[in-house]
Amino acid sequence: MELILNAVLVLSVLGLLFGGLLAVVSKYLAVKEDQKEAAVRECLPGANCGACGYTGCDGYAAAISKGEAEPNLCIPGGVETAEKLGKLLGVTVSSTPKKAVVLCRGNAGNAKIKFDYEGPRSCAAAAYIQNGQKVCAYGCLGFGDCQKACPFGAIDLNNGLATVDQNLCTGCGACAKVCPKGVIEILPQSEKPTVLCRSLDRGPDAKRGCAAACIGCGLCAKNCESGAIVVENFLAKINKDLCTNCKKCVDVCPMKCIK
Amino acid sequence: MLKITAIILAGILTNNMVLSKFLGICPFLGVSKKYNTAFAMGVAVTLVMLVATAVTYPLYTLVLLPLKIEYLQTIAFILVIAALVQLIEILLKRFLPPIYKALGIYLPLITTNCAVLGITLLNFTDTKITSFGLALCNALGGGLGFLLAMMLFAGVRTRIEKSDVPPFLQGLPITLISAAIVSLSFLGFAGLIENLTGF
Repeated sequence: MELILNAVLVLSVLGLLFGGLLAVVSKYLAVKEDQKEAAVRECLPGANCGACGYTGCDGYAAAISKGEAEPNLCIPGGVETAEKLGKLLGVTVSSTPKKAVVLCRGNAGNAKIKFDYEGPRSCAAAAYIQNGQKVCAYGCLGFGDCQKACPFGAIDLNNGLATVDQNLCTGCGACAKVCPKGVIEILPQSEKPTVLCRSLDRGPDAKRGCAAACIGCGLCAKNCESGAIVVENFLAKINKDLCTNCKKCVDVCPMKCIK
Repeated sequence: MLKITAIILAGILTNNMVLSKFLGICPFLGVSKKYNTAFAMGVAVTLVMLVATAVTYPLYTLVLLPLKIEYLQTIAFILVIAALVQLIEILLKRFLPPIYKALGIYLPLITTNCAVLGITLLNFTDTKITSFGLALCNALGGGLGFLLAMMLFAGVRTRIEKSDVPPFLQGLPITLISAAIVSLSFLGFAGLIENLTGF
């Protein structure tokens, strides 16, 4: 009987002692956390991707609560997070979601191969050898370094070409960082057409390398009613601010590289 | 002095917590991917082992043993260690924020880590350990041994990351196999301390 009593007593006393100690210590020694910072942190998605330019979500929350950062910098959170933060801080924010865009249409059917590449199945490795196995030195190499880098599983390889699932993409830019060709860009989502080619080769050379390359013919620029398209270095560029989304360039492009 | 050296060296080499007793495998596999996290975890474990021993040894000898309730040691020690780690965390957060930042997430992770509980329980099964001071030495040796194992294995893992592992072994399987090989290599220390120091 005494043995049981001792056991119960010792454990209860120990529990009470340490429980009480912890309660006292946490009450009197606790570090006061900034309420605002905690509330801001609550709104952020917590991916800690660093796309905002701060060291993870905690760093960004601290910067916002001190008023050093704009609330619309979180790319994975997109409009939703920006609106939530705007409501919390009492400011209006504007933000269009950004998405990764693969500026290449050189899949296995379109792009020609310079040589059979047998090395490691990685774009970074392939790019070291003769600028990659494709004739076009600017296009997607199709070994999926971006696919491996994507934390959201938004990139697939489709017939030797990386394609982005716009629904899954958060625009964090992890893919753009690893692409040795820089063929992926993070662009504000819009309905307006984009030139899906980065080739700076002369027209005939570009055409020899890829059936979907921009050859710099300038037809799109001539037909553009708002003067939004300029051809530089045999590559068309669309100024999204001037574009009226008439889609004439899409119809007129002989290589069908504007989408 | 020789005895102290023998106990510390035994904790590091022959009776290594992770590699010969197979305690604390969870943090050993979990946070050994990079040198700096492995180091922070090792230091945190060493610190907690020392503090835990400093409290549990008197508790056992002054309370549990006289009342003949030694069988309660496991549950009592878990209680003590969990409370202590929380306490250390609060104190560090308040008074030493840089250390709290460095160890921050690792401290709660080892609240009831089996290596920490193991060292406090093993203090009473090892016949070499006869006093409070020697128990502290044992805790220090155990902690340093854990740190050494973490650092060694972090080195192994950073090399695995860069090597061409067959797909069916990628991830945890190759990690466990290499952990076994590292552990095998520590068998080579068997008998070393006894023959060197006579303890």
